[in-house]
Amino acid sequence: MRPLGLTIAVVLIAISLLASCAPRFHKFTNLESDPAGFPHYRLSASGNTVIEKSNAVPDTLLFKRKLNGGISAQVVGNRQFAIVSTLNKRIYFLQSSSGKEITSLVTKSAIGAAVALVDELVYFAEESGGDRLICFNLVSGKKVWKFAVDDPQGAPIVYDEDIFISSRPGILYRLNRWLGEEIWKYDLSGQSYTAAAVDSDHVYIGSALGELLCLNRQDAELLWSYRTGGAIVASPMVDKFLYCGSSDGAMYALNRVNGELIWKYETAGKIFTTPVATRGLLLFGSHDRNVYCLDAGNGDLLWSYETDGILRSSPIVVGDHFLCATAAGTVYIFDLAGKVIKTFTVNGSVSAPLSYFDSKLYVATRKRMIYCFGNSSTSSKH
Amino acid sequence: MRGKLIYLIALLLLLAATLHGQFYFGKNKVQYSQFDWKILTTTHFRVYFYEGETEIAEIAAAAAEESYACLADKFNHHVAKKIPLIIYSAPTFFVQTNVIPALLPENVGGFTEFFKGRVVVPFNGSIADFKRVIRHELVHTFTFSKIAATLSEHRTANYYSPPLWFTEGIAEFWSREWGAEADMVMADLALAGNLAPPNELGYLYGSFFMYKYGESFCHFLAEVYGEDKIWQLFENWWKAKKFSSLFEMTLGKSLHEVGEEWVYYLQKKYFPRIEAGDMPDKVSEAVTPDQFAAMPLPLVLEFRDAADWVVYKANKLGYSGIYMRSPSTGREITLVKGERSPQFESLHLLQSRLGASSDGRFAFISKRYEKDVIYIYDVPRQRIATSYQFANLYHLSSPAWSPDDSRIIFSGATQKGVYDLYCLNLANSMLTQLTDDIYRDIDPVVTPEGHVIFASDRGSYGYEGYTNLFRFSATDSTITPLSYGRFNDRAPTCTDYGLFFESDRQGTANIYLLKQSGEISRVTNLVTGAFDPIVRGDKLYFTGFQDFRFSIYSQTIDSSRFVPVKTEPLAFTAWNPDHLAGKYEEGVLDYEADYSLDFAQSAIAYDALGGTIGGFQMVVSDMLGNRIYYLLISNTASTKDDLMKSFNVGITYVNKAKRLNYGWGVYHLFNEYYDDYEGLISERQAGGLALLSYPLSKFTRMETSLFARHSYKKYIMFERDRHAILATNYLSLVHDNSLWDVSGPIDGRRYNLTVGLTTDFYSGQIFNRLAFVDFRNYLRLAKYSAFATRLFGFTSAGVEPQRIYLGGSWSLRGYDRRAFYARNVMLISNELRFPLIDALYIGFPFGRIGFQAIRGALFVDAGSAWNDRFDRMYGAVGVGARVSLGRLVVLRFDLVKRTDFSTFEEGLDFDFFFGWNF
Repeated sequence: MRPLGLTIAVVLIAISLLASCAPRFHKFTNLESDPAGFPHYRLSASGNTVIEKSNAVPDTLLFKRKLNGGISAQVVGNRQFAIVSTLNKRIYFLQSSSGKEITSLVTKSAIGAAVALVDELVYFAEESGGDRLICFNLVSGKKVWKFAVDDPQGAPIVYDEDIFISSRPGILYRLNRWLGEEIWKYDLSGQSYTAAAVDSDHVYIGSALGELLCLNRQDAELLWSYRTGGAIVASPMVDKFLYCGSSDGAMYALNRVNGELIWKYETAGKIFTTPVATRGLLLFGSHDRNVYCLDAGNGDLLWSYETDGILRSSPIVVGDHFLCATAAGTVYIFDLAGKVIKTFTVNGSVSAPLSYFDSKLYVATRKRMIYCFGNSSTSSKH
Repeated sequence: MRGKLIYLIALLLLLAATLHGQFYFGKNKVQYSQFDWKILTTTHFRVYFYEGETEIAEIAAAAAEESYACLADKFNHHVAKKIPLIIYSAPTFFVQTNVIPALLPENVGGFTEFFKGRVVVPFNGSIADFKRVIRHELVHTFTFSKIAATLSEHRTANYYSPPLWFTEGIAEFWSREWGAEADMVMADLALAGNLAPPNELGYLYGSFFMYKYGESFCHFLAEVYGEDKIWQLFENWWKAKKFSSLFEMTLGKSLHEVGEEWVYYLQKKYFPRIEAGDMPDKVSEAVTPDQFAAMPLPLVLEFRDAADWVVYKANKLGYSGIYMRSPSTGREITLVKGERSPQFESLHLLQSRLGASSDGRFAFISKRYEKDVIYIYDVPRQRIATSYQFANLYHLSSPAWSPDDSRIIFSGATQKGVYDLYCLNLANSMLTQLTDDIYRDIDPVVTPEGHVIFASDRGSYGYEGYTNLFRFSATDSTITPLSYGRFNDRAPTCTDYGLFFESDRQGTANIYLLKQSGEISRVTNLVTGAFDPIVRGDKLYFTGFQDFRFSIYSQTIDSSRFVPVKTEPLAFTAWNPDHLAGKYEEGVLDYEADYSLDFAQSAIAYDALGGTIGGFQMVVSDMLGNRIYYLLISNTASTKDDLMKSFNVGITYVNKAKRLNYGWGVYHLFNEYYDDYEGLISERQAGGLALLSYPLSKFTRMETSLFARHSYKKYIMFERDRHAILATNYLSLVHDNSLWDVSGPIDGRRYNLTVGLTTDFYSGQIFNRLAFVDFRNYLRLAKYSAFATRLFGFTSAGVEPQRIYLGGSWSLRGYDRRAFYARNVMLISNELRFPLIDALYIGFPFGRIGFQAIRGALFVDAGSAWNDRFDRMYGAVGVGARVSLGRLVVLRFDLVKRTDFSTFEEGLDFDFFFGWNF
């Protein structure tokens, strides 16, 4: 018995050791430059996710893949690869053509929000347990810098030479994105659940206390604040006005200069999605299972549609289409008049914002699945 | 070797004991009714219901979908699979459910079972309550689904359960508005100085109060810190390893810190109320001091030198009963002992009023077997005069006599579960139904003119669950409202002053008076509530709430202290509940047993002498828990060559769908073991079994079992073997009405009388016969004290008689667990059980460990075991302590001195063991 028992023990230990070994990161030596220009990821600093150039309706599943953990972060990428961060401490780099894994990066903790990809640099925030913002060089395969942040919330937002990140205890940091050095920090006086939205002069961020703050980008001076009736969970969006949903169920449109309320639209559920604005329309989803299309100027309801689940995933606009996904696992594609063009069912709840680049729609689910859809007339099926 | 024997015993237990008798004693879950089950499927639910409750199922489906939408929003989550929702039309059918094996206490309003995610809810007659319970249970479903999903997404296994006060608190918080009942409980806690942070209110664990302080704490969190903090707790679940860390991380403050804030918040809220109102014991006379009592009924009766008798229901020492007390003399008489026999299985302590006639009789309701019965009690003769049971009525409530004693009006529910008013003519036992609709009509009372005044949710606010008062005209059967508003008016009683009733119209429930003119005045102003008013002469009797319990108080009526209250003009708008009629995904399907896994486990063990032992157990059952398969496979091979012939395989099927439970099984067992008489033995058995169990009532059952098998035994040390084809029959009568304390039974009685016969068809001989009696009686001395007696006798004879062991902590104490092994055994145990230490805390550098309710024992045991000739009695006396660990297991410590009843042996034995008291 003993030799057999010993052999089994050795094999089990060896398997455990192998399983616990981190995979090696393969450097990107042939990183292509993206003709779309800076920034290369689609989560814009303004929070408005409109891809005007494409109008092909995704109608075909190109690939799907099961990863090692649930996904709540928006997929980002370029023509070469898609970056998918999981809640199980890994960032995958998948071939955008086939979904095959090119390489992956093991992190210290969950990555709950999108990474920022700028040329060869990837910025990602490790949540509780990691508690840091990291800048990683894909070409050298090395960490460029790291910055301690207590349980980062939301995606890191890159704007010019800056990178912004907020922490759960409610500190918003502005760092130099090349060096990872703090330029300023601002205490929101309440916890934070989300990322900021940034324009050339201002930084806008919501707090768990329901307060929406506008800071001077240069020196963090508080310019104005506005109190909503519930915690702010989704990033605000900068367009003609500043738009922000609240867990009090209302979508707010505020004057960007002085924070005055322009209009407010109430829904029957919490709003956890960042709205998208295009052609005078404002589109968003609510926990009351409806998607809403409002007149962005006055907040009048133009149309709404009841879906099969609560909407936690921020929608996007691609050309003439509005795309959203529900926590019940259905992806809806509407025309801008509110007509459903297409639906897909995916395995798992969708909370990650939808992502569209290189003419492909990426849908990530909390059941560890990543789906890539394309247009049958423009994509070749893999 | 011993490990193998344990495996074999486990297998045999599994095979032979899966019906009611699975725990040797135990009360019975009686399947009085059989149902034709159906399924309707909605977007998120599979609703299981039976023929006759279609409307209730449709209401449940609509309520469940409405709740699902609300909770998906609150939890930020969708449940991945359709949720099984099992609906019973009345509590009496609900308690028969086999979804969980445990007996359901009467006050359980519904439950969520986590293995298969089943939500089981009865309809209690109130649609608003029904919807609220469905939502409450769905909060549990969402809670655990959300936690599981969060951990799964992060691929982390550090599962920890939320504390029960939080689980139930959030379920209450997200299923109902803050109500008068919760307010009453919290006011009492605050004003009595019993508040502490929720994690320090352990002494209220599992009680109704825990639900309410949990609900209050969640309200506080939402109000002060924002409701987002509650769902953030679930989002952050993976980030912590225990709830207190999670809480601190999410709130930014420790649970204790926030708990202290909550206590102060409640003090500020409730302390000012004392200025405006009073505590019951400060302004009233306590009729039942220090008792949990309700439903007063003062009698007009001179009896045993007193004329102020008050009949009431009370829970004393764990059992409910009906008592009579004279406040002037302090004398108390027990009239009905409830919950010990099938005749008085449940007295519905807080749900049904008592009704008095003018000649010293009173009517009360008790559950008898499956249905409720109206009993008429003759007080002067101190006996039950008569009883009334009705073919179609399952639940009855609050019988009220007409002024001329000719009729009894009561509230009753048919199999559909809807409460309507009925009139029983006592002269001819004719039953007349007065109301017939979906509304819940309760608490009737008959006016001198013969009209019936009652409480009902048929009013405009009934859809939200509020009850107002109505009058049913005796002349034209019309129903007119007497009160109107978004509050609960209940328990009317007619007096010369007008109509007294209880109402929470100003917050806490108090007693009000409705005069003939329609004017309403507040009669009592108690901070912690007054209920069930009844008047005799100038005295108002009522149930008051104070210091965690209901009790009966009286006040002299002083009309100068009545405070008129503003009322809304009477209005009446009929409402109808939402149905999900016809909106099903697959229509209505017949139920077919859809089996799924309940439990599976495997284990492997290595014994230096016995080699490797491996085994696998699995239990599968259908959605209703009526049909169960038990499978066990193990292997006891010592060497590779023995592998194929050493498999132990057993499969048993049990059907509990009907009152007569039955089961069958087949098995193959092979084992080698050491017998104290026959040395080393290898035995192979293959055969089948059949089991039958018939519960006579909740407390008593008959059981029989048949084992037919081929047995091949090899006596290795004696180099001989034997073949036998054996048939064994057992017949048992089992009774159990015991009441348990934390360490074991403390009241009641239980016994098991069994006879068995084994015949060998191979040789044509009686192989063995056995009989045993195990009788245990628990004489209650005080709340936590009892004198327990056990009489045990076992005898077996035949070619191969069965032998059993005597000795050990559960048997003859002071002697080794295998001290005696014989075919005749007797044991007498007497034990005084008493409370020893209420709470014990042991400090460590990292914190403290606490033990609650440590119980003591003084015992005397006498026993003997013999084969052919009685030798002598062995005895032991000792003291012991028992402590319940997490309410799951009891740690026992005994210090014993052995005796032969003439002298004591030298020295003391001590024994640590786990297990309940006998």
